[in-house]
Amino acid sequence: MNASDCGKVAYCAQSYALSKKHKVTDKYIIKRQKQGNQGHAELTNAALAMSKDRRCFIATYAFGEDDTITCDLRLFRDERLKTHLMGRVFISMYYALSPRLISLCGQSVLFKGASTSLVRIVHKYACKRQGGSY
Amino acid sequence: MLVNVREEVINIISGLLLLAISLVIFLFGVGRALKFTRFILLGLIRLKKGDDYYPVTPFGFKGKLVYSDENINAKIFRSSKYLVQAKPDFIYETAYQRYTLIEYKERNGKVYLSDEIQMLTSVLAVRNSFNITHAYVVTGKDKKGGVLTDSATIYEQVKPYIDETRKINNSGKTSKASPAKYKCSTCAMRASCKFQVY
Repeated sequence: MNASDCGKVAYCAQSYALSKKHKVTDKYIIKRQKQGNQGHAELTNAALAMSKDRRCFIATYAFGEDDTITCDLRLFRDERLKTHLMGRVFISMYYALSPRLISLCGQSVLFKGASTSLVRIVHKYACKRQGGSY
Repeated sequence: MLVNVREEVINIISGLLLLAISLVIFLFGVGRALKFTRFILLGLIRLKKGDDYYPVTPFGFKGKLVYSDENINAKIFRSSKYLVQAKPDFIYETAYQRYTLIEYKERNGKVYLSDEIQMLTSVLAVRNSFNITHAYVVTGKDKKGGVLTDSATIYEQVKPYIDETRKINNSGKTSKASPAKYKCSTCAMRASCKFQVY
């Protein structure tokens, strides 16, 4: 027995019993149900987006938060690295070190150039590992 | 003096931790020891960061999303004890082993009793998998809920509705009706209902 059915019975038992026999034909009700489903989907997407880990410090520093390379590397982290222990250890170490590295050398032009090249190499490697799917 | 005491305490704690890890390796093997170390380290990080460990949710509290009813294939929670099942909208982890359940209603009105009953029934179904300590029904303008009691008390609260639902599912009929103007005006079955109030 579903929790939503229980809620429907608490709202009106007669309405629930009738809904077992009859199909909804009222256009206004169908429209409201569609709006409800759409609202649910929008909120779910918003909640999922808020819960996603958007950290990728050096790539964000080198290319920006919403660049395709940064997004690809986030995907590589979630799909490949997070699936095994050594990957997770690497991620933890990277998250511990990279913000400090950026705060120390973030102003340096040399560091920016070097990190951009390094991120490009890592991105190339990630693409290769994913069979060129990025 | 204080620095010395602090160093002493840190030395004792790290010594005890190393001893505990060695004991776990000796008794259960390396894999479990790694898991144990991770558990201890995560606990320490959470202790240090406090509230900042969790991101902000769209519902005004901090928590990590652990479940969402994102599509038709989302997990259905079942309780074999109370024989109920549910697919709540969201479940957030708000502290270690403490979870908050959210039932969202896409309307701007107030929270009805039926919404609360649905939320409480969902809590009964989900408590097999997650330790739900808080639950809320959220609409566009209203939010109701809070700290939950034990499952037996919740079941007593929702039992009449669960029994009635079972009765309708088995017989297809009911003599009960709760007509009201605000309900009947938006009811999907108003055309075929003899109790309707306009």
